[in-house]
Amino acid sequence: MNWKELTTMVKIEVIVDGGLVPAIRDLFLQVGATGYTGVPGVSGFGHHGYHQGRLLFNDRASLSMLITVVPEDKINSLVAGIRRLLEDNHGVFFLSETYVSRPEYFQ
Amino acid sequence: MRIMNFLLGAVPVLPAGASAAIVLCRPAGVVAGRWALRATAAAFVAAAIVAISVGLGHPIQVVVEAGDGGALFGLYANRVGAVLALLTTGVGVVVQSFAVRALAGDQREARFFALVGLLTAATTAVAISATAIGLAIAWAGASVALGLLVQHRLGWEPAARAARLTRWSLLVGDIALVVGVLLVVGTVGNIDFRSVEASVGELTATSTIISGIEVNVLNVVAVLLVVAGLSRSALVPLHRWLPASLAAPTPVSALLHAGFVNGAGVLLIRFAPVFGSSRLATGLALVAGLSTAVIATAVMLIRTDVKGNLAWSTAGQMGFMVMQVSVGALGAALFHLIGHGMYKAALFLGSGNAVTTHLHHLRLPLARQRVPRPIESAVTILGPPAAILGAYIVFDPHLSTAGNILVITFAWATAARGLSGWMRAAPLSRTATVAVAMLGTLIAMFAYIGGLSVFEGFVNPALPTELPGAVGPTPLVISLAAIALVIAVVRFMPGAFGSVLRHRLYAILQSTASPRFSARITRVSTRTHDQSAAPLRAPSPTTTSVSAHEQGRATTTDQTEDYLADSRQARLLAEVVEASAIVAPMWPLTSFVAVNPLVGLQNRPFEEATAMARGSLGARTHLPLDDYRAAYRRGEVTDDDLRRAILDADAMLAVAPAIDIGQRRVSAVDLVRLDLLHSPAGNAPIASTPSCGRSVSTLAPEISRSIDSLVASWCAAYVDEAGVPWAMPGREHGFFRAWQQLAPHDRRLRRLVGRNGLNWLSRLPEHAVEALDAALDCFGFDDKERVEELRSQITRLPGWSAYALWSDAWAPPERHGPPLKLIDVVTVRTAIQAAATTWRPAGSLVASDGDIALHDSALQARVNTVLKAFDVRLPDPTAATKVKKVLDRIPQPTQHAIWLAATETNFRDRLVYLLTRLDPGQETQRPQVQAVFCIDVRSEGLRRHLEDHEGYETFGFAGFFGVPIRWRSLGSPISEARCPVIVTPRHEVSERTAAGIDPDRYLTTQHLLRASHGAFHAAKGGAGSPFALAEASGWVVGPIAAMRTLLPSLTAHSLDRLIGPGSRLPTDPAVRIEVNSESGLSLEERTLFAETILTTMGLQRFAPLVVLCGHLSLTSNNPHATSLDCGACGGAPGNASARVAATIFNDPEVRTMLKARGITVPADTWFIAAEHDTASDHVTVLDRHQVPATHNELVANFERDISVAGAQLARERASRLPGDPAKVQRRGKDWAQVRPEWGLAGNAAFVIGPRSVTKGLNLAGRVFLHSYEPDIDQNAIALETILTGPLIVAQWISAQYYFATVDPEVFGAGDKMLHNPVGGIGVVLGEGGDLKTGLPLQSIFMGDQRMHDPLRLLAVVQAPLERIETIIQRNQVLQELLGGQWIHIAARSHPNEEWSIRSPAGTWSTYHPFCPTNHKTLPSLEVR
Repeated sequence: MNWKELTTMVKIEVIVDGGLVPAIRDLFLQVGATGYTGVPGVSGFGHHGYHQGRLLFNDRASLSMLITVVPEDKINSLVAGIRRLLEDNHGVFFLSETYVSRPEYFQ
Repeated sequence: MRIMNFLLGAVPVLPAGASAAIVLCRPAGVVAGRWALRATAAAFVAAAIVAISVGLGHPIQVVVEAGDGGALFGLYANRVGAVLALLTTGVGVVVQSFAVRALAGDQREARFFALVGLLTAATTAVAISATAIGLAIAWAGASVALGLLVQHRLGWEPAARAARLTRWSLLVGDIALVVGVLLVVGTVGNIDFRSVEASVGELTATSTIISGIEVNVLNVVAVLLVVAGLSRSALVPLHRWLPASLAAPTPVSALLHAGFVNGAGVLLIRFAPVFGSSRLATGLALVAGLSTAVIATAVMLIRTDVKGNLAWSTAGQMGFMVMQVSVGALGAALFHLIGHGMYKAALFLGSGNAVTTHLHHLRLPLARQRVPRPIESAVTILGPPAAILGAYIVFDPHLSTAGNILVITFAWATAARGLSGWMRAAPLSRTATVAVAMLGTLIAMFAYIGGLSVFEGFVNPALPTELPGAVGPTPLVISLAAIALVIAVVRFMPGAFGSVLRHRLYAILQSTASPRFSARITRVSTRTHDQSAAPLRAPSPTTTSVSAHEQGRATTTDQTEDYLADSRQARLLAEVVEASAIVAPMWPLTSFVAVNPLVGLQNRPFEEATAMARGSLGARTHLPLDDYRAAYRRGEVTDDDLRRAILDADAMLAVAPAIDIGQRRVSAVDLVRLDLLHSPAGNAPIASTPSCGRSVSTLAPEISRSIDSLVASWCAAYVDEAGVPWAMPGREHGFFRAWQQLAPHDRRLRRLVGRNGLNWLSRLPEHAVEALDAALDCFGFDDKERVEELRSQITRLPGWSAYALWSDAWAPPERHGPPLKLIDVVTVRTAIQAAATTWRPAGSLVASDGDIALHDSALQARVNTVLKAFDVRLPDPTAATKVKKVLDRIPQPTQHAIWLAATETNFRDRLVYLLTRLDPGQETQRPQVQAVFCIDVRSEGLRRHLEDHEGYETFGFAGFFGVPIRWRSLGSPISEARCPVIVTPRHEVSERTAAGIDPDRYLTTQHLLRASHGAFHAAKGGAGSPFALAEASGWVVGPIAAMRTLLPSLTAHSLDRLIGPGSRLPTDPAVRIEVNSESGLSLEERTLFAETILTTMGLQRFAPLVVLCGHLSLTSNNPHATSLDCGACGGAPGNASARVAATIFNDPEVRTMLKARGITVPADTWFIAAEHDTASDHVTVLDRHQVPATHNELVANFERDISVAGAQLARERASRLPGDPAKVQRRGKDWAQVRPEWGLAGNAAFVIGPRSVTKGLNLAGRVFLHSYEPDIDQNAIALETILTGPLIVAQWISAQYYFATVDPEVFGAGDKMLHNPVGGIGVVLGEGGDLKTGLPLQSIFMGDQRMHDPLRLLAVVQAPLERIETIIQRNQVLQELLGGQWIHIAARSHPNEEWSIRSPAGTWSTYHPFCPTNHKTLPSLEVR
């Protein structure tokens, strides 16, 4: 199978404080994402220095990454919502083109 | 007989005398309570002796006779009167005994007892007055007393409103009765109840002219009596006052519903010969009774709040009672009146149990084998009539035909519902379930009908044998059949018509049920939309946005997708999240945990966040200046503390030039200090009026309050975790959609927004975000204004919003029932706001004047005060200008901030001074017992006293012992998180019985409990079944309630042995057998947990016995019970976590793995679990059966020593609790006790370090203690775990206590006596309104006295500073908390080093605690 036969979609990865995860999750679902993947306790380095990864007794204070894939027609509202959320909260998001073999899963 | 006459006179005179004595002598509240209780108890004893005497002999009378031998006034007790007097005085004793403890510390306690005494006396006198005039006077007296009692809570608008409504409603009845009695007196003279029949003939024969029409006097009098009865017993249309009276404290409700409200029954029975001779009156009574029974019962079925449910139930029951009277079933009516009275008194007094009962019910096992539906139907339909027939044959009650119809019909309904509930719970095998159901029905019916017959036999001689005007069986049967038909149609009508019918009816009932509000505004400035400052866009069906949404809705109706395609709406969703930061999530009371009320603003500095809270919530965020000054006078704040805090607030003041005032030169710092000590406290309150979004500010406050009330009532209807019989239709579609379907039928909404507004609301898009967008579009907001508006909408209902926020962001996925989403709450309120703003008739809009800045005048007043302090009398403009310039640098909020900082500095000095001692080091000898307690401040005292015994070493660790589990207790269908809410439980652990023990006996008990619960609630929640249930079960639950009140410990112990935890079999957690890849704990994970626990608290050597002691608080009748449980276990008992952890440590495989990792647990070491009941300070060793024989003696020694330590701690606590110190350990079992313990009140600091840092010190239960050994934590994982986990939980607790203390109105849950549990998740105050968050008033205050010092948490750490700083730098949450001054920190690397404190900017500086007392006496940490 040629990879070009795959369907083009948009992937969005959001890295935010654990406390903001429910809002992002809700936004994903409200704009029509059919699912998402969550990675709790991600660590790294950024504007605010080093961020600790997973904490033993606190799942809310560390950073989490949420990933979803949506068709292009849903991306504008999703981006608009995320940008608005990140105006007042720490976090970054990355948007990229991606390819899926079963597009019906994401629509 | 002379003695009997005396005793009869004493029955009403004693309570009335106590009232008079209280009014005249004005004793303290507690003394007043004692007087009133003793007097009523004596009256009850007198009433009992009188009743026995009357029962055995003849009626007793104390009568002053007129010349013709008729009675002028006096008392007359026949069997009916004697029974009623027993009821009123008996309920009076129980209620007053309850109130003596429940109202302790209440500001109006003495007034309460004076009025209750009067009410008891008057209600009793109504029952035994010898004459009509005497009865009328007593009747009016009772009305006055009740009206005043309803207004018990001073300065609370709902109470004042309820009192007004109650007074006016009762006045109607009072006037009717007085007119009726005057008419009688004018016609036949004063009625003498010894021979009331004699007056009937003359009354019948006399006519009077009313409006030119000749009317029979008897009919007029009888109708007036019925009107008086309708008013007193809250029958339609005079029913509204009864639910409104929930604004009174719980004991008032109990007294009212058990005695006062029975007025119609008592009146009509006493006047039965008159009333029963008028067909007009009996017919009117039947119609009123029937209507009330139907309407009020229907409302009762939809109410999700406990007290509202009970109040509407009472109205329905009164309707039923009046029906009984109208058909001449007087004996049955009396039986109902008494049974129901006891039933309601018990249920009101125990209303605080609702949440705990709900939680216990959830934990009971599910049904076993369901009985096949045909058999269930057959048993349900045929069983009750068979049982009733049998009972009738045996007992043959002497009732009229109509009376028999009522008894049989409603007994059948009750039994059928009960049977149905029982069989659906299927507690046993199919055959056994049916057999027990049949046997139970037979026993219940025999008991009920037998009891009724016996009672009738007793009272019948005192009742008229025949009522010629009583309603006959035919109209009764027709009425009942018609009602049954209507119920069947509503219930079973299929299709769209049926659905619309049910929706419409539900909305109408909801309108009927909710508190009335006035939507008609008077005296407002009239403005049209054109004149409005707000550029409102009239939302019409033709506007673009709505049309577009309508199209969208048409599309989405046809499709399965329903998502936001509009970027603007996606942004709106984010804006709601931003706006929601103003409230904190509120956990349901089933697992209540403390949370910082400003947690959403924690990313801002404390003072900035509190300024926002003042602006948006109208909250106080600091104590009043006078309170701080009182602390200064007590020596809790010194001048030096103030100076340091002033310089922290404004360092430039240190270099500001001194000012010459009068003859003195004063530094700027001292000037500010004097200002802090003397400035006027009252002219600029720290709390301001909440700032409003523009739309809110354009509406009159009354309209906004009406909208709040409306939305709150719908939220309460929607949130129904406990399960009401008739749930809100469409709940499964979410709150907004469900509301939108019902809104068109909501009469209250129509009054607010008019028909056009209603139409507009019903055409809003179905998707909440789209609807919110459309609603906001009406106002033409820009982006910033939208957030402000959303915040404003949220702060109008902070409680429901807080619960919705929990639902959105914190609720576990497996929670029960559809979630209440914040977006839905905001949308509903904003939409109504938009409709009201736009569509209300002209004349309803009013601009808010807002606050007027008083800054200048306030500043000038402060300047004058400072000058006056220097005795500067003459004007000194130069000095005044200079002083003003300095003081202008310290605005009023900063004054409070400085006081707070100074208070905290003083506490820090005292604590750190105590800790600044030579470290005694660790004991070298191996201890016999090591006990690990939760870090909770309540463990501190227990540890201290236990360590007084030889051979003990104690540790502090988060109460979930590092094992984040979901716990499923034996037989429970649900599992519950047992870890801090900031941790996601990763494993589920189930409980099983110990080896060799068959769980069947225990499980069968649990099944039977569930089935009994199911049967009772099915009967309680039916349309026709509650009537017989109330009158029958009242005779059982009433005496139990009396026992619980009068002998709380004995009753609690007995009930516990019968159905409570005391009946449990020994069980153990099934850690080892439940291991699997799905949910269990693998060996690797168990080992990791064990290693984490040991290294985090620095447990390196092991005693032969290690006790892991969790904690819980066993309290009764307490909706906030879980708030006293372990916060580290998510607001649940800590026993499960301790048991699981002990099991892990005792696992040989785990020990082997630990050894491989360098931790050797000696073979002779055994871990046991225990639980500390913080209400009693009893410690129970759990799973005692698992203790090996080698350790039995050690465990027994531990049990002995911990028992002594607990008793010592209890004595220590008793000094701060009201009441008898000897009973301090029994307070939790007392259902009247509103202060079972002080919980975590007083908490102020969190010490992290080895026990040697604090050992031997009395920290007064104010310090969280977490063990930590820096030497074995080189990679800082343990410290980071403590600082980011337990410290955060402690800070939430600390902040919750802080804010609930500084503003109990906004951040607290209010008075426990007004609590009305709703939906199984929270409480509202009185009849309804916003959900209350935070801690109850009685958790923090004793009358006016604060039991908690509101301070921000101080963390004290013994660890290398570099390590601490590194951890702070890599954790945003710690940077925010420390940088924003939400918590303070002091630390030292080693016991031999000096302490350092960290500034908000992150620099550490050496710190020498200033000892506020001389060096010979150690400073005390006690809250004063």
